[in-house]
Amino acid sequence: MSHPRPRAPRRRRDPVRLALGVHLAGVWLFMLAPMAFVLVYAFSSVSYAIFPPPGLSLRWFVKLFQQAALFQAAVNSLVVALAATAGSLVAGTLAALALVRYRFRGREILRAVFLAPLIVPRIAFGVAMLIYAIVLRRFGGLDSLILAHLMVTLPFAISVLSAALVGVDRTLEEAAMDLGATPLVTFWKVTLPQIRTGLAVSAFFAFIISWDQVETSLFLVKTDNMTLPVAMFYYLQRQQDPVVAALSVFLIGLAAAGAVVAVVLVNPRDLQRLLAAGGR
Amino acid sequence: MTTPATPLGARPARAVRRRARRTAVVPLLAPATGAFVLVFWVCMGVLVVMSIYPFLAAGTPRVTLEAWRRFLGDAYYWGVVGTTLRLAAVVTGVCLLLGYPAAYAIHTIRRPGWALACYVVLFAPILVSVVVRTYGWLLLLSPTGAVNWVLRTLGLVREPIPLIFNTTGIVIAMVHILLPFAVFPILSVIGQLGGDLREAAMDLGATRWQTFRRVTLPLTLPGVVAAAQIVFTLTISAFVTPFLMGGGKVQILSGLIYRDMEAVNLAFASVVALVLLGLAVAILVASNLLVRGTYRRAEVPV
Repeated sequence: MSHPRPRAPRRRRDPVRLALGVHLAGVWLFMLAPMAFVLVYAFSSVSYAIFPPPGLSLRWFVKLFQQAALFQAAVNSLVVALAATAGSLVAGTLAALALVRYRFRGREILRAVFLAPLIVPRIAFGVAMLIYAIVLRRFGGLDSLILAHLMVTLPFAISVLSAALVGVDRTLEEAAMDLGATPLVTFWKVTLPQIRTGLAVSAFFAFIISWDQVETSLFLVKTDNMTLPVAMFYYLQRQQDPVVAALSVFLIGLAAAGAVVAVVLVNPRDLQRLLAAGGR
Repeated sequence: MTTPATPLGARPARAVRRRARRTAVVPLLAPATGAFVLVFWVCMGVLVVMSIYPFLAAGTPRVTLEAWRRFLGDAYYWGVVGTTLRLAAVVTGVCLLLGYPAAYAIHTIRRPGWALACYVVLFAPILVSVVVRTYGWLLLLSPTGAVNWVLRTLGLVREPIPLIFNTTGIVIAMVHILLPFAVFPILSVIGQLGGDLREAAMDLGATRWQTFRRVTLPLTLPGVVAAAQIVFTLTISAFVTPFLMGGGKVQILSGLIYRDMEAVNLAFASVVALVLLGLAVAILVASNLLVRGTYRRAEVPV
């Protein structure tokens, strides 16, 4: 019964398929459960984790809006994430251009120099960064945080943008230059539009990585430059009331919006390849 | 890339342009190189120096192997290394056991809408803060939480079973955080797999299990090794989840670093950080050798 169709015809009520389906349903439940429960407990009337919650209330949202420190931490996180993203896009595009377009001595060494931070455990880098910040007397500011996050987001941007640049059609650039466009104009009007997906993906992940960075920031923050995930971490250590859950309602909402944007922006194959490469 | 169709006059101009562009490599590389060398690589150097020359400590600094000797000479710290590796091995094993069939199931989905939904379900949690997700597991797994409530309501247990502040809790929450990183590499390898070889094996009379065991699994092994490497490396360096779920009861290397940083013992924290870094590099090298091995085996005709 050999035929050219790539897959064997589907049989109904196939036990293997059924088992795979049940497994997948279990994975869905497993992946979504913790978020669902955080959302439920945000509206709980008691401060402890009892199931089912004895009643509903909005008191944790009221308490959340009284936490000026958390709000300041969110603003700090936003500033740091935007700066790290911008830095990754600019330095990443330039470095990727050099790595993809030019053959020069030491190129492979340089690539290793750029990508090595991806291997180093972030908490180990956090220790090193604190010592360095103390030596430079820059401990406690946003600048040391931005630089630390940049070391994590930039290697990622370079690898994504290098892949994007490999796919750029060089003849279009040659045509633009033959028609008298300067290299800068050519880059801006011909090259950049062709790598916009790579740029969007880099920006998206750079932002997410920085926004959710705990290990790298942990030792660099004091009260003035506290970031949101570290503030939540410390809050959970002190008291486990659902203020963090109330805050999470907004964070999960943002993440859901982000996921929709990502799926619309990038096709799932690219996303899969990216995550397979360990885009963490 | 010069073709005969190129106008003759364009050639010298292009040659000039090429030469001019070669010097452009310096400004292109300057920002990234400067940032990495001045921040990341100096940091790595600082870490090594601090571990043997605690220059920020009180008194006159001097070169000493004291911190290294304290770590390497104490069975307790070797135990922490063992706990870290064992935890990573368990998390990796569970991730592969759950992730492989999940990837296979997603691969067999015919309707694009459902496949997309699976991608979103696996991908969206990555966008939610690790702190929030760990908090979710603390709520779910606490003695008065939903999981214990279900177990008691079904009559499976009398007393709530301890699921947080122990290794079980750490493993459950870590698997949740790392499962997407196991599924996606396996999925991308399964996706490249044509149906031809499977078809051929089945036509030659192999059962489905034999086909899976002898054809599909060996061909997807590189994806499995890649997934294992990512999950293992991320587990040994994870801090937030093991720390919160462990509740101080389970000590791993990242927790040790945190403890010594709180105690402002920078030299010892640097030693532990370097040990952790050494483990991460060793795992990367080992798994790269393993990938090369599995590829070679996959090339052998089945």
